[in-house]
Amino acid sequence: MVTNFACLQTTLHNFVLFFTITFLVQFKTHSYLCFIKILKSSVTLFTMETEQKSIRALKCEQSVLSRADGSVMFSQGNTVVMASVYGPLEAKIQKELSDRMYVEVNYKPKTGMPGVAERGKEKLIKTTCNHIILTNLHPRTAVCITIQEMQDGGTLLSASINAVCLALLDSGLPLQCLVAAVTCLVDKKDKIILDPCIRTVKEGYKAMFTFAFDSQKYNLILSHCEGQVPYQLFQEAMELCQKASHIIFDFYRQAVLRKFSKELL
Amino acid sequence: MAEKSFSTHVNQIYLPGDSVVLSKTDENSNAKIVLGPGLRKYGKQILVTKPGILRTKSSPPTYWIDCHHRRYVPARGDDVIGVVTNKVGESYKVYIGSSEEASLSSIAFPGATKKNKPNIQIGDLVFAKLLIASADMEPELVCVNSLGENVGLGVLSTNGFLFTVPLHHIRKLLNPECTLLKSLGKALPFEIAVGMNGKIWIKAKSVKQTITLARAISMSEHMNKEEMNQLCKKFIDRQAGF
Repeated sequence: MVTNFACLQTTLHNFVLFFTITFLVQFKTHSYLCFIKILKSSVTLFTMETEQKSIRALKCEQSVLSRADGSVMFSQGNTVVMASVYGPLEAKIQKELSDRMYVEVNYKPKTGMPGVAERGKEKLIKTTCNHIILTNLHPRTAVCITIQEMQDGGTLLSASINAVCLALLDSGLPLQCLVAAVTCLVDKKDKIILDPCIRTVKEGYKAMFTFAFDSQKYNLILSHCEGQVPYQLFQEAMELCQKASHIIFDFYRQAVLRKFSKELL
Repeated sequence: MAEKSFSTHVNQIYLPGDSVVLSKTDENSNAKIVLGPGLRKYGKQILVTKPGILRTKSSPPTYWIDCHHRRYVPARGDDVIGVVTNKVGESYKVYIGSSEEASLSSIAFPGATKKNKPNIQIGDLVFAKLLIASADMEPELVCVNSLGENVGLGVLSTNGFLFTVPLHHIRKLLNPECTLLKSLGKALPFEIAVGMNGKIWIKAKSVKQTITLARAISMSEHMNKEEMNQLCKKFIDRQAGF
């Protein structure tokens, strides 16, 4: 019985791997986002557990834009965003800060002009960036971060923060630590769902949380909440997201490792 | 990350926020330890600020992070290539790719005096050394050494070709172990000026040769030694008509 179970597990695991690979191939041929270097994270290990306890597959391609100082195309499940970093640049006179760098964040929606919701996202990303960039090393300069939404599969805010972190890593700006953002929601049955897809979000929820953690001690940097739930549930959701942030930090390390693979020898 | 803080992993990947532990011999010696780019002291810890590979060198013990960059941040003593954008009184404004334009005094040329100034037009390229490079001040360029002598710096001729490559590629090209420029030069003689700000000026006998060389140099960004040799061979063969 035990051997049978183990066998079943391996086949299940193989199936998951196979599924991911076929998905990648389909993605490559069909979609207009032609990923050249596809980085697969260690997420497959976690898909073995129940679906609520894992985050969706992470992929990224670094230095996608030729003229940006740092750029990345990042996807988390079906959510795809592109982030670019320009800087340190010369700051406009009215934006210049005499002791540190000015961080400007632009969030571009898929269609139309950025509205109030986008401005809100910009503000959240800006405060996060101000926390992780060592802004005092480049006084009187500005850094311009642009995020282009490519495909909405839910959790755009956390995907944007993760994409910005990868773009900052690509640009080589001095950082204090890294940041990883995870979204989770509490559905109508009080069940916590980690990294929900767009369908789950549209089904309705009691509350949705986005948390961002730093890479040193996994401390909370940003918390963004919608809805009302008991404090107990909030605490539980935060702990779950904190655990899930480790996957994202591992993914960052793999992405950088891939970038420097030729020089490590 | 946890296992990293127990021993020094030279030539390993580090990410911002990781802490670096010095090797046993460096930690016990009295010699001053130099922390280069990408590292900072935070209390008793040494923290990484840029993603890259940890490199070390002895006498004096130096640690730094080898990182990829595209944007230039001025550093004192660097040789850079800039474009003259404006003339303000006795000095020129030069664009060197950094956040602020650098100034270049018209007297900072070999043999120049108040009356005998060099002939520089807006749009000219200059190869100059950074004399002042501070985060709080405007960078300042010179085209002479401290004795006022000619050291190969100055205005670059207008029939060359300027192109930009990432900064880590420049560092690789200027590494004494890199043979790319030497082996290209054996087949196609050329003049080159390599600026630490990612700009390369190149001039060969004909336009065709210049473009070939520029392409070979910019293509070698992600190549190791062997691949570079192969690339050289391919380009030289093609140039010869094979």
